[in-house]
Amino acid sequence: MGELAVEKHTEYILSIEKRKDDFESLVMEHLRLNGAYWGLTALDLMHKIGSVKPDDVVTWIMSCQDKDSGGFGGNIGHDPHILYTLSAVQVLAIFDRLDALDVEKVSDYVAGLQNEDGSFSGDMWGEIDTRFSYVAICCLSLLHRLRKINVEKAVDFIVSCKNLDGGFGCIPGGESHAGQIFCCVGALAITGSLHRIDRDLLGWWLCERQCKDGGLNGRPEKLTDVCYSWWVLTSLIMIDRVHWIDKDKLSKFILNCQDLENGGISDRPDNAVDVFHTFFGVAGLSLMEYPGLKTIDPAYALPVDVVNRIFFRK
Amino acid sequence: MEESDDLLLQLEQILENDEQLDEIGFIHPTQFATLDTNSDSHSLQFNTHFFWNKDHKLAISFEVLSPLYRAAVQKHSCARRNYKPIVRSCSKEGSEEFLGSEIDLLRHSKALVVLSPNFPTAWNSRKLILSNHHDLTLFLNELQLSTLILSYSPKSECAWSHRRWIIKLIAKRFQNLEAIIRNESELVKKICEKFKMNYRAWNHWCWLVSYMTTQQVLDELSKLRKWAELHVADNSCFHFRRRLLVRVLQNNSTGKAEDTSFNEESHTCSFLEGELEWNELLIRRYVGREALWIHRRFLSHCWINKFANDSKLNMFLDREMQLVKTCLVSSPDEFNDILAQAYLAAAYFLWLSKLQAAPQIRYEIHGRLREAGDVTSLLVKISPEKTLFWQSMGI
Repeated sequence: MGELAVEKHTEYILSIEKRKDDFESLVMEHLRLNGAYWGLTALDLMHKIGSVKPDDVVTWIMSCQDKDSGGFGGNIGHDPHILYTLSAVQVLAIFDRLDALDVEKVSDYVAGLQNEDGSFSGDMWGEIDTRFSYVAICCLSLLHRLRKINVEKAVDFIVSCKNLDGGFGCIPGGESHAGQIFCCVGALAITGSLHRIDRDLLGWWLCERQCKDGGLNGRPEKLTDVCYSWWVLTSLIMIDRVHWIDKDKLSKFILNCQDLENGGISDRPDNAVDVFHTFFGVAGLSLMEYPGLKTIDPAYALPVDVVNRIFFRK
Repeated sequence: MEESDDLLLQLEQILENDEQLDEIGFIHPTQFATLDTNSDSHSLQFNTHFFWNKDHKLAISFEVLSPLYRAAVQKHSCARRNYKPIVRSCSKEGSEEFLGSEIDLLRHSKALVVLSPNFPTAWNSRKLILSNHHDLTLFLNELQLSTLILSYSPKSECAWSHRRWIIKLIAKRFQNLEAIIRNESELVKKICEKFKMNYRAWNHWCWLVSYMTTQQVLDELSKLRKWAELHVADNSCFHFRRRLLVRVLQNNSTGKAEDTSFNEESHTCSFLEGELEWNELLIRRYVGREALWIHRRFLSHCWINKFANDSKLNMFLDREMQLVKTCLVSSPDEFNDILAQAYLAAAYFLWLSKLQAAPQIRYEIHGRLREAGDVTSLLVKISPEKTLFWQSMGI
């Protein structure tokens, strides 16, 4: 198949950062902050973050913050939610501009979403999902404010979502799903609780995600999809079982999903591209140490140099 | 083209007028010509090049989606700024009055979620208003709105979580959920029929289990059998069965006397064995289906850990060996399904051998595994990309 078309993907990402007026782009407006994280992290992994001016991005991000609660909405004027709050922190981290934040205010917002049973709500309306547990733990860890939550209970709740097949769902008893598994494993990794996982059992479930075409699916009987190259792969890495899948075949699958003419990566070969799959394709290749890419941290989903800067700079 | 505000008004009037709307589609302008003429009984004035409304169906032309969306965002934003929540006491029966600001916000947020089902702020606006009302009809209408959105946007996370918020509210204030649970089950089944393995739909159903009585759980298990037989590749369906079975097994172990006809261990055991028998039937009939073998892993795991004793274990393992042996073939040149079946059978047995169980049980299983031949080599042959995995799992 060949190579990762870095220049093409960079052009593609930069082009979608600009506002577009077609309906399909309009109905993504509410998650622009997530989109910013996917696009900018992909650029950074490809050593192309210099193509973006930090000041404009930082100003826009800060204007997405809800002044009352301290949380961030998906775009300016949108209600705050934990998902967008993490994206805001992650993007600011990439630009080394966490100083723009009132850390206490943001961390209070996130910590305030923890419930009695240790779970996290997404926002004031109370929806519970293990994704939000990961988001909260990742966010607070990056802000050095994990002490604001009850970590033990948070871990206990995550573990209560473990199924007999070793995987994790959204809520206790929910179907195991690679995306949810990444969130649970990532949260347990960050809180030093990986001993609560049966690594062989989970590793088994995860390596069964690899299909004949080399790609990974997210659940049994589903089609392969590039985004699982991230979620399954990083989970396997965190539990030290990545040698259980064939990485060469996976790389080839990801590279096959590129649109070499227009740039971008799609969910599977010959489908339409989007920034979400472009990010996860690049991130997956980075995990497999594809030459020319920055290394990505499996738990924080940020370039390792960004994470090191946060944890090791005095 | 008309002003987008005017277009929005037309859309909102249709939405308000047709209370039983059950389907919405965004279609190409050229497709409008193929639709029947609008219902004659329409008293509304709207541009029939852009909107079509008949038999509780609504079509909107692609041409006007962007201007409609922009107008809806702007109007919603304005209405949201003007809205100040008021707290109502819940002493009065019957319908409650709405403030003008509430009516505006409800109208514009509805248009916005129709156009952009995953626009969280619009759904939140509705929650803000509903939080200060106590009329059950309102909440049921809200479920209806979510159903409408899910009919064309079945993965909409916002629509699903909005349902849960409403149900939690109803549970808190009105208590009787049985009818609602039944309706939710019907809705999820309908959606899962149309959109296979929709994770959000099945997750919603799993969420509902904690609100079900034991009898409802048993009824679901029984009703879902037929459906499962027609969808043997639907792993989500079988996972849902597992969720229900876990509930049954939990009830038994905690001795909940909610429903006295089902809290005896022997009943639960034969229930599980019935499910194992049924699963075996399907495995033999539908060759090479992963979802069926995964279901069997769970069933065996439960049976072994809860009901195995010396005499029963031998019979159990005899039967599993029998099943596995008939599925194993030695040549990877066979047809795909047969090969898949061999692979799945071998993986199943290897998985069994790894079960966390009492030492004597594991010893028995390991012994049987050796009888089955070189399972590891077979797995490596069929699935070489996982060679390292099979080798580290092999006995």
